[in-house]
Amino acid sequence: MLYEALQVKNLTKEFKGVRGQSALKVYEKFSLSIPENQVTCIMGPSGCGKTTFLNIVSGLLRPDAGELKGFAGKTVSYLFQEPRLLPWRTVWQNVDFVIKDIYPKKQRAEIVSKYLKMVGLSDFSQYWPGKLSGGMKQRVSIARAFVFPSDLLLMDEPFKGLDLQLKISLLDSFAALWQQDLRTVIFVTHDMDEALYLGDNIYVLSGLPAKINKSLPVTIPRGERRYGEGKLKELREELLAGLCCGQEQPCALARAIS
Amino acid sequence: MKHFISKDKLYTLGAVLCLLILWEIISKIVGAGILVPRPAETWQELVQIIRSENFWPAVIGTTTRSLIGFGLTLFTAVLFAVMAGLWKPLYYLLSPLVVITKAAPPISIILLALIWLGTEKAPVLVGFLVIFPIIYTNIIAGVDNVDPKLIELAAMYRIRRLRKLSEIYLPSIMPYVLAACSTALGLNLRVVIMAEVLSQPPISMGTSLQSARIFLNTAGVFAWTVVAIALAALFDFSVSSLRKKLEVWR
Ligand SMILES: Nc1ncnc2c1ncn2[C@@H]1O[C@H](COP(=O)(O)OP(=O)(O)OP(=O)(O)O)[C@@H](O)[C@H]1O
Ligand SMILES: [Mg+2]
Repeated sequence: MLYEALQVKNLTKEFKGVRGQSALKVYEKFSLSIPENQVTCIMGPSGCGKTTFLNIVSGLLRPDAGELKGFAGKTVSYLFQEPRLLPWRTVWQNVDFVIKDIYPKKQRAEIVSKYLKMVGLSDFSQYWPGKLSGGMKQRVSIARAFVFPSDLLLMDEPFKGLDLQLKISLLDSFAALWQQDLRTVIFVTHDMDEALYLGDNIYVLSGLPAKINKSLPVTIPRGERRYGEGKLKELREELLAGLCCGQEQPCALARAIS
Repeated sequence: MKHFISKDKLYTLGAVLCLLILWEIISKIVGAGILVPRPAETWQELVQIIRSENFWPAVIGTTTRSLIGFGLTLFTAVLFAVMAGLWKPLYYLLSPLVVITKAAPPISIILLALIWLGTEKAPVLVGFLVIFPIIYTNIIAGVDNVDPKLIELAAMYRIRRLRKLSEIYLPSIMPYVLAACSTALGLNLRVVIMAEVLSQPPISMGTSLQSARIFLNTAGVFAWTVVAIALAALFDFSVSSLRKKLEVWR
């Protein structure tokens, strides 16, 4: 099947240095295409510019130069790297917050309770965010990003800080939801298994300014993927090589951990 | 929890008792009611004052002046702070004025207000000039401290302007407004009474304090002071219960 693609072309972004520090060129003539109706994963070492990329794509940050093709006019759900909940609104109200202007009250109630159930927080709907654990806050922000009907869904390490069982259950819920509307998704993660489980394409960035170090399509149908197992294991080797290349030593440590 | 609160109250009660005993001892040592009246004398005077026909009119008059002034100040301070937050030139225009009124001795403000206005209105103006800078600067600090990440969030999810105001800006600023209110309300009452002492409206707490002093009725001065403290405590209690109600999420 042929997909339309959103294009990022010749992106350049530099952060001005403060107090005599030299400026930091995060992107220079960087190009990437994001196929519509697919899940594009972005991986790479901490500080290589993944969040910056999402901020630019979402329109929160202006690039110094470059072109964003196909992004104009699209509605965006952005699951930020930190939960960003309103501390004076309950869990329920925080999720409801983003769809208040969109749906009538009754429909909203159904949607909110459905998604809170999905992230396992039905019993905590009346809690204040200050009374939740880090992972619970993270799940509220997942629910909030999912309820918002957008063309584009940006996720910045959404499943960090969650236990494996909960993570897999959320990955499955996400896959099922995604199947319903085939949203265009950009998914930033440090976890290879997550990327392999959900992604259609995986890009590994590295360096400053960032370059695409490795591009890995995952063609195994989602229904046949098993988290961290089977055919995904072979791809994992390849991805690991991509994540570690550019280093003198073959990544013995990373291998040992995996 | 309940247990600790009652223990807390017990300590406060003990402290008040100590203070009363100390007061009694000092008045014994001084030995002149005209300098330091005894607690019992003050109590008798207090009862007498409360029974007098001018008591409630005086208290209500002063309270009204104080609250009108406070309400007026709160309204204008919020208005100006929000406008200054949105429009920088106004902020720069106001900042020297705020610095000046903050630095000016209250007594200069009282004297000027007396020159400009009548005896009834002067105390209100004094209160305004003294507490406006406090409330205004607090709200400005609140506006500056609205989390830009939440503003980004609202922009991302296309939240309408009015909801952004009522669900993000207002709750962010509220703690600052309430903190300012709890300082300003008591301070306002004190400067209003001070201004009344000098401006002498026909019936007011300040006027009563001054006439007690003129008649060398020191117990009366003490008693009116007790009334003023009680009133301030009532104000403080109202603000802190409002605070508890509005900040359940903390
Ligand atoms: N607002 C900013 N001002 C200055 N420098 C910034 C700013 N935002 C990011 N940077 C710098 O840009 C680089 C990339 O940051 P970014 O947050 O995009 O990294 P990341 O890939 O998301 O890392 P992580 O995996 O740790 O989240 C970092 O070196 C960071 O210091
Ligand atoms: Mg990041």
